[in-house]
Amino acid sequence: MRHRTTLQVFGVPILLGIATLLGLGVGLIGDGGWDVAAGLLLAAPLAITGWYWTRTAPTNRRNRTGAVHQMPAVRRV
Amino acid sequence: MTRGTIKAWYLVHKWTSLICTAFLLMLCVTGLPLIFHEEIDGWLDPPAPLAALPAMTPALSLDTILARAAAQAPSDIPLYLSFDDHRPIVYVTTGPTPDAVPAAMHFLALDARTGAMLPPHVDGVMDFILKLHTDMLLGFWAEIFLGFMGLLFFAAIVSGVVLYAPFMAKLDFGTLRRNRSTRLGWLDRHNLLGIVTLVWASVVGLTGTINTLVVPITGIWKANGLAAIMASEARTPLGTQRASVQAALDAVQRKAPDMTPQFIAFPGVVFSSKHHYAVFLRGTTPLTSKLLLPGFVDAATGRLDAVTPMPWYMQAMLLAQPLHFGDYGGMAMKIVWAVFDALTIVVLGSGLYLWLRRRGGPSEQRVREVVMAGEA
Repeated sequence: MRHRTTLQVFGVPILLGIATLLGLGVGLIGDGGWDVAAGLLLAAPLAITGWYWTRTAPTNRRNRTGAVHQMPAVRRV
Repeated sequence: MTRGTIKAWYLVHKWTSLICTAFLLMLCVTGLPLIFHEEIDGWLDPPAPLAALPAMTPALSLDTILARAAAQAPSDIPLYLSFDDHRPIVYVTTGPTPDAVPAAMHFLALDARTGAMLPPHVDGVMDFILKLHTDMLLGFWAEIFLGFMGLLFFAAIVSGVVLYAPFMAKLDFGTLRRNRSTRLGWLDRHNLLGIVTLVWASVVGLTGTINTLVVPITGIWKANGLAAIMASEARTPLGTQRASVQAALDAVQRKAPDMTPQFIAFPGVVFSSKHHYAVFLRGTTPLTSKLLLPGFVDAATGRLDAVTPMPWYMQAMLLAQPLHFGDYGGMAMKIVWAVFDALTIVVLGSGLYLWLRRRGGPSEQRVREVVMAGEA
C-alpha cells in the first residue's frame, strides 16, 4: 500500500476542523442568517461522518455482470 | 516518527485518557440534557403568566423593587439583581451575608412594572443535573478538579491526533474495516469519530475548564484591574444608609446609552468591591451581549467612580461561556451540539473498550498496532 504524507493524512480533517471553527465563530457574529450559516458549517463534519459511517465497504463493489466479488473463504491455521 | 516517539505519545494518550474517561463520560451524559435545558425547563415548569398591561407600561424604580424583595426576606441583604432577557422581570438574590453559600440564598422574581412577586423558582431535575455537571454536588474544589480533567481530556485529544498520523499512513480517510475483528472495527471508528470531533471537543473541553475558573479569574481582576477603584474603599465607610440603586444604574447607563443592563452586584459579592454597586451592561448584538461593561458606583455616596472595560482575560472568560453551552445559534446549533456530544460519548466508550480488549504483551505491541494500522 502507498504511504501517505502528513498533509494527505490530515487533509480532510483540516477541512472539517476549519468548517467547525468557522461555524463556532460565525454563530457569534449575529442571529438569523448567521445562525443558519453556523448550523450548516457545523453540520458539515457530521454529515461527512455519517456518509463514511453508513457507506458499504468499497471492496464489495459489484462488477459489470452484477456478481459480487467475494474473498474466497480461507481457514486460518 | 520513530518508534520511541510513538511509544511516548501512546503512553500519554493511554494515561490521560484512562484518568479522565469516567469523568468525561459523566460530563457528556449530564451535558446532553443541559443543551436543551431552556426547552426542558419550559416544559416541566412553564413560566408564570405576567399581568396583561399596556405594552409601554414603565418599570418601577429598582429601589421600590428592592424594598418589595426585602419584605420577603427581612433578615437578608441584597446580593445580586438581574434582568430577564425577554420579559419585564427582575430577579433579586438575597442572602444573610455577601459570602453566603447558594443554599443559604433566596431567589426572588418580581414583575418589573408592578412589583408583584412571581412564583418562586423551585429547583427541579435540571438544576440537579447542572450541579452534577458542574461539581458533582461536592463544591468548589470538585469543580476545579473537573476543570483539570478537562485539561487531561485536551491532552488525550492532542496525543490522539499525533497517533492518528502513523496509524492512517496506509489507510484512506474514513476507512472502516467491517468484515474483520470487532476490535479492529472499533479501532477504525474510534479514529474516525475522534478526528472529526477534534475541534468541537477541544473547544467545549477547554471552555469548560475556563468556566471552572470564574471565581479565581475574577479574583485576579479585582486584585489587579480594579485596584484603583478599590482604593477608594478606604475613604468611604459604608453605613446602613445606601445610595439609590436606580440612580446608580442610570448614572452608568448615561456613559453607555446603547447598552442594556444585565445585572447589578451589591457590595461584598464576588463581582463587586466591598463598597460599590457594580452595574454590568451588555451590548445588543450576539457577540457584544457576551462582553460586559461594568460601572462602579459608590454605595454610600452614589458617586460614579469608574466605567472600565474588562481586561482581556475577563473578556475571554465571558466568551468561553457561550462556546461551552452552544446556546447562541438557535435550535440548529443545539442539535449539532447534541450530535457532537453523543459522538464524543462513542469516542470515550470505544477508547475504553479498545483498552479493555487489548491483546497482552508489552507496550511495544501497542506501538506496532499504531504503525501497522491494527494489522499487526
